[in-house]
Amino acid sequence: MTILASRLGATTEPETGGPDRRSSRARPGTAWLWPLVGVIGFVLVWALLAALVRSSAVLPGPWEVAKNFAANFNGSPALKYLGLDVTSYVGNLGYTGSIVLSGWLIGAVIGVVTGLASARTQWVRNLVEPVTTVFGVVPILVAAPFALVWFGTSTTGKFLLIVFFSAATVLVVAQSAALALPLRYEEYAATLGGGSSARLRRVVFPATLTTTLTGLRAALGQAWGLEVVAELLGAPAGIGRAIAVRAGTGDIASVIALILALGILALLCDAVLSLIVRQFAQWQTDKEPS
Amino acid sequence: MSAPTVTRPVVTASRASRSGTVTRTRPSLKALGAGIVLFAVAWEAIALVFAHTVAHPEYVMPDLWYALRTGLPGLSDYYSGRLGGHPPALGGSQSAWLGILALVDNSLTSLYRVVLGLAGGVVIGVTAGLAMSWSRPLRGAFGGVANLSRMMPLLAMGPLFTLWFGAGSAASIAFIVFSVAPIMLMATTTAVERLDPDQLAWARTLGAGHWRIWTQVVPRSIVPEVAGALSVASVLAWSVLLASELWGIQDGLGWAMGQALGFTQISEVMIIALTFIILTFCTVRLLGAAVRRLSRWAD
Amino acid sequence: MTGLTQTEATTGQTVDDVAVDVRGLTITFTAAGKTITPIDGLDLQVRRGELVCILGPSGQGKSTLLRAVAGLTRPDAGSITTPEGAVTEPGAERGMVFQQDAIPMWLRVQDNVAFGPKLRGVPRAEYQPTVDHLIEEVGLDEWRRAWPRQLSGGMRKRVAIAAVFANEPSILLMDEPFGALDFFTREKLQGLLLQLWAETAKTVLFVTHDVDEALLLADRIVILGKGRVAQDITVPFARPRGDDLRSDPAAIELRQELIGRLGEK
Repeated sequence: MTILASRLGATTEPETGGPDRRSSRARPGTAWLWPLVGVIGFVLVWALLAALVRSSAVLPGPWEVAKNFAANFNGSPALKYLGLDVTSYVGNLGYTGSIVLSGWLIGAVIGVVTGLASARTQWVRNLVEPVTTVFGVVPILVAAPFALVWFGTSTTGKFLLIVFFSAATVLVVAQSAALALPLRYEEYAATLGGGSSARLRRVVFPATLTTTLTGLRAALGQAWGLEVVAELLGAPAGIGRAIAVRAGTGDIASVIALILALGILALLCDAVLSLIVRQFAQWQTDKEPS
Repeated sequence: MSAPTVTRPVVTASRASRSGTVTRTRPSLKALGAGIVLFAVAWEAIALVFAHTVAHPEYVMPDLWYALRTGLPGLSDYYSGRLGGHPPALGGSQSAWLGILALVDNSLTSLYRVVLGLAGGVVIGVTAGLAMSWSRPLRGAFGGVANLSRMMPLLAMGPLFTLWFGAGSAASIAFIVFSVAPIMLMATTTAVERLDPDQLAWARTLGAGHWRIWTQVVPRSIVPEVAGALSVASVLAWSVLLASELWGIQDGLGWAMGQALGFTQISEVMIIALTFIILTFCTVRLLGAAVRRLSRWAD
Repeated sequence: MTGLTQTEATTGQTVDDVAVDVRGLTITFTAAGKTITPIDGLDLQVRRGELVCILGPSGQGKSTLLRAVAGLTRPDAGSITTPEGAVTEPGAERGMVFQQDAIPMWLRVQDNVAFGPKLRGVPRAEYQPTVDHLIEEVGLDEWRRAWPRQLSGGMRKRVAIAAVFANEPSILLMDEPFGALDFFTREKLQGLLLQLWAETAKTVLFVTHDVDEALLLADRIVILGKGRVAQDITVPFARPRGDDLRSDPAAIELRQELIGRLGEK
């Protein structure tokens, strides 16, 4: 299994259950307690540091950032002055978000289909072999300048960049998971009369779904950053562009506010996705017969 | 829950290599080579089309030979003269040789940042991970923050680091450490969680104290898993480096690429991109080899 | 009890009678640079409705033979024929129960048992009664909606058995299916298999390394040696066979003989 795939949590087999080690010691239902404490602690430490530094030009405190966010949420004269096409935080979130989510979704579908097929059909694999080999080593950011040159600052170029990145990431994970699947599940299906396309749909796809969805989650998480850098290089609007212009005027509070805003959006999307993953992973995690 | 399975005869290990109904595709070096060749051919073909239809093809998609011929001397503009020679920055003129020196010079700068950043990130991440594995509440607390921070668009924070650390190596290194440490931290805590408690008990029966276990036994046992994360982290480090150098910093490969991009010198961008890829590849390979040596020694 | 030689075992059989006809089967593997020929010119005929046990220690080609009949491994030479024709691929008429759990872990028990018919596009109205009946017969009625992960090893084997019977194959291939289970579970499942077999009169090829299991289940016991059938022994005991088999002197004698012949290789 590729390192990338295993990093993204791929398992080689549907889990048959095993002894729960250290994780069983927490009381059920309180798993969120300490993480919450951690986050609150982080905000407090931040406020403390900001108070110590005493200069909001260097480190604005959480309250300052929150004010900035609220003030600019629906409309920002500053962004308008600095020449953005879209002049509110929420508008720029929408711009960036729509590119990322649509590009990611389309790329993911392409990635899954191609990845699974490439694990079973040699000519498909030969076709994508350059992509899978190169993709693990080449930082996708290297492609961003080319997207800029070929497509300008338009949304098309960024959209294609996200599609390509998402497809390649998911392809690697899906292919790896499908290759790692023990033979006997498909052999069993074959002895029941399943042809190769039926086996792909009814065995390979569901068996690798959890792993692939985890890969999807990771791809989305990284896609946000990729889009922002692409916008930093040049875009009519978007969180990246907003960050660029605000950083240009040294407005750290705004930069932090924008980053946090995007982060919260990314977090919400990830939370939704993880709920979906949990639905599909019931067969691996259910403890009691339902 | 399950009884031990019967061992299979060695003959079935090669079943996958026989023709059968259910098969797996195999990696193909030939396909990889063919793909790269095809890519180059396609590039040339499209460049040819552009050459006949666009006024300035070199701004969009120059053919590969042209790119090398004009791009390489063009890189001289990004050379400070540190390693000798008389570059345009010091009043001289462009040349292919100076272009190469430019690549080497900026590569060294970037490499320096990546190495320090990776080292810092690994040390901080692994140490923090080991420390956190001690206490469950601590792990929960930091885990919560770490999970949230993973959702923040990492590459977007480049400008922030430049604002804080100034337009120099410090910003890049800090940014890389910031990106790599959480990965190594998570890999370490996961690896420790997966440790076989029987192995640790065995070490105890041989008289190893708590301290010894945590500073010697545990680190060695988690090397394989952490090594895997290191591979991913090293590719990320180069990504982050590029992002940081594109914004505000005045030297390094990323800066050179940003400059070339600003002047629409796509030939130069291509050469820099290629250098970047080669450096990333070599870093990953070298790190992998080093870690393998380390694990063999640790075993 | 004298064992019949291969030729003696095959005289007197008409073509219609034969459910599995293996002729001159040869299969070679390359493992770690060496060539292994676990099956070398093997001939075997199995009559319709027979339960034949292929007995022997691991590594003698028993599983290879079974997989060849299943169509999962293509032979290098020879042929396998069933009433449906020559065997070139897996097919629904040759159902298989694997040694390791091969049932989809992402399907609940009821969907698992219905997996075969669903794969073949059989309408639900057609397969549902059979599926329901089989789930009951294997004793998993209360566990219809359970995930395989929630079941014990023995229960998962019941699912596998129910699933393969639900697909209504004419030939049943079983590759040491109970090898990983404890004694008591194995006993219960052997009984279940015999019960279902009696109801449906399928042809069964059962691979095992357990002599007692073979004596309990088989009409014929086949021992492989040097890539071919070395011994082909008819088991003369009347059915139903049960605990009395352990104390029957004739059975004890046959048991000793089998163990002796197994050791001959």
